[in-house]
Amino acid sequence: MKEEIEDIEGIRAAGPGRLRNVLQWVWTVVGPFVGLALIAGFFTYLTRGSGHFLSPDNLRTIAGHTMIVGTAALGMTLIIIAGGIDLSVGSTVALVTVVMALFIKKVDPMLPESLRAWHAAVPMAIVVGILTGGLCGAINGGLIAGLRVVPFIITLGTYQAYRGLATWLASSTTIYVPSSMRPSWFGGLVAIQPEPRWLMVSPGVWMLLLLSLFLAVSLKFSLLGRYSYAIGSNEATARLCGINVPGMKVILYAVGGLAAGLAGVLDFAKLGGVGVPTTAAGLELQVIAAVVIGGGSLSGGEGTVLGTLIGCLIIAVLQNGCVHAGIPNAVQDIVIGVIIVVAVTLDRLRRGRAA
Amino acid sequence: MSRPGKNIGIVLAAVVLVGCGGSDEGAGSAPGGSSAPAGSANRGVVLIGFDASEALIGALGQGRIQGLVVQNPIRIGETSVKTLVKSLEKQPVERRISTGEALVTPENYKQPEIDKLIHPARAENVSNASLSGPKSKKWKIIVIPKGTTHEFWESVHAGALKAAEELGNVEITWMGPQKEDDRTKQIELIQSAVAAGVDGIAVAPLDAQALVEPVEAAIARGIPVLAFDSNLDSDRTVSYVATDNYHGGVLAARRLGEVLHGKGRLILLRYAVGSESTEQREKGFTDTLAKEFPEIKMVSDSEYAGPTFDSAQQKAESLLTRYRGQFDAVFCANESSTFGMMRALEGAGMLP
Repeated sequence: MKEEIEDIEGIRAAGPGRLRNVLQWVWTVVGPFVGLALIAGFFTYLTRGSGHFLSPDNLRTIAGHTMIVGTAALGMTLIIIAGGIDLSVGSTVALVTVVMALFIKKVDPMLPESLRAWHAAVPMAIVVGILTGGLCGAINGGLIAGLRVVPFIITLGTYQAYRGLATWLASSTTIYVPSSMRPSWFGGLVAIQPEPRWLMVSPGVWMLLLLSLFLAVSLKFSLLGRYSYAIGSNEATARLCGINVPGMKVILYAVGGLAAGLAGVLDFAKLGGVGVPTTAAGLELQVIAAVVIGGGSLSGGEGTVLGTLIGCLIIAVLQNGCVHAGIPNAVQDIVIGVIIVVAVTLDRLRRGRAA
Repeated sequence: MSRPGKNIGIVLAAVVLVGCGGSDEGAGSAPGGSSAPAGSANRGVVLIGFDASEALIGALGQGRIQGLVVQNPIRIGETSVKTLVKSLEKQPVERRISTGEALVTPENYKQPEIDKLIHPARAENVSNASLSGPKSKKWKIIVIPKGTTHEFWESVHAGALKAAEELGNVEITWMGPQKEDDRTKQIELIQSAVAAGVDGIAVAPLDAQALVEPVEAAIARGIPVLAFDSNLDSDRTVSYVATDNYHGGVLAARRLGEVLHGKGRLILLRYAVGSESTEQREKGFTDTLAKEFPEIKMVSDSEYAGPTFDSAQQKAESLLTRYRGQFDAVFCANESSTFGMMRALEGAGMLP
């Protein structure tokens, strides 16, 4: 089995020759970095009068603002590598915030006094939230594999359905968790200024970095990672090689869902313990944009964790920089749109030349 | 979308003027029976709304809307900036500043003082300053509305700019989330502004609870924060500058009672959960109805219009199909829901 996978890798690598391959790899990794540096440099220049843009405080803020998009984007990277897409991420996040809020409100009063003092309902809700995301993802994967309909359509459907479910569960309103049920550390999870100070950045950012490392290693060395690239490169070949493609899809989308669930937990903390069925609208597009800017290919088989993280940073730097420079929303959206198109076009050009 | 409404409004306003001769303030004592739409037998559904856009005023002129409670957005913007600067200069400020509200009806909307309220100056949605340059003025503050699409905010912006011009020592950056329910975006705006080194923040919180943490984090770093339009569950803000929303709801309820002659069936289309200002309006409205007009029955009061014109119209359309023929009047507590409801009523042919 292992050898077969290496064969696939071998077929992919055989074409252009070794040096070219190395150059291509360098460009894939360095390209987004250059983009990030250019954009950061541009805003530093625009805001040179205040000198706040590169201040540690602002860098902390930018890092903090990549948390939710970044966490969800890790899952999306895996899915996109395998040639899929998940449009239901934003809806999943909203559903998770609602489920968590309802769970805490329901479970907290039922707990014995000793557990309530520890706010035990909140850690339980975190687990429930992540699992809810995982379940959403597994349903996506199951439908895609079972119905053999393209992921775009299936997740377009669940994008509506999960949002609807969230709205229905929340009775079309917003669910507030009373402050007595919220532990003080919960907001600290996503606070821009971390406690203790030596953490430098928000605990959520550290979590994102650790997960990124974990995913990057998994992509490189685990079967999950290898199969993802194999399925994304050529699904038919992957199947012929004996990979259980439908089963893998369920697993991949479930993992993507778990990441979205975690993003939902972070959003819930950021919102100060409020379950909002309309939150994270359009998040999926930011997440997909981050992966694509970072070198992921929507036709599958390509994408790296590092690239995705850079993609997230590019989006966060743009949004933050526009606030510093006083550029209105509309212009921000146009700029992000242009960057996506430019990034993907450059990607195509590079590949065109290499092939 | 508001432009065409204006022309029609002018044409039909003339008709209304001929019809009822523009009775003034005394509309309360001499019931609106003289005005054709409210009294006649084939009248449609009575719509009472909140806030004024050109389209809504046009409809009011046609007698299709029976009343609008309007705020004073210019004064909200102006007072917010002035109060925040006062607090930056260590002068004492009031914790709660009310900026006034008024009822506009088809009878009184031509009066000069009302006209000024319903046609406030507006500012284009651009920032006149950035947080980037060296400080050219003494104070640099950011004003964060709930959204940037409603005309109401453009007038608040105009008021803020007016204050800045009058004070001369303050620079204003205007920046808000695009969607009026994007709490996450508003939180990030506050965090970015703090990191960009502003001296003060004026914010119209989208959510009384969700915005508490970022606001208190800013305050902890010595940046005063003022809430306008909608309040925050925190006692550490400098001040709260807004319409007396509860009283606005009271005004709306009294107008409705008057038009319906104290009897009828009503739909209340709420705006959004967690929006303190509109919840106060709805509460003022329902309290007054229960107290003063017990014979007006609520058919539905559990539906929410959501953040945009579209969401409001969709919700209104389904409400109208559900309760067709079972209600006489509708109240909506903000601009987008009033407009969405109006469009839905028009589509269903239920307006006079």
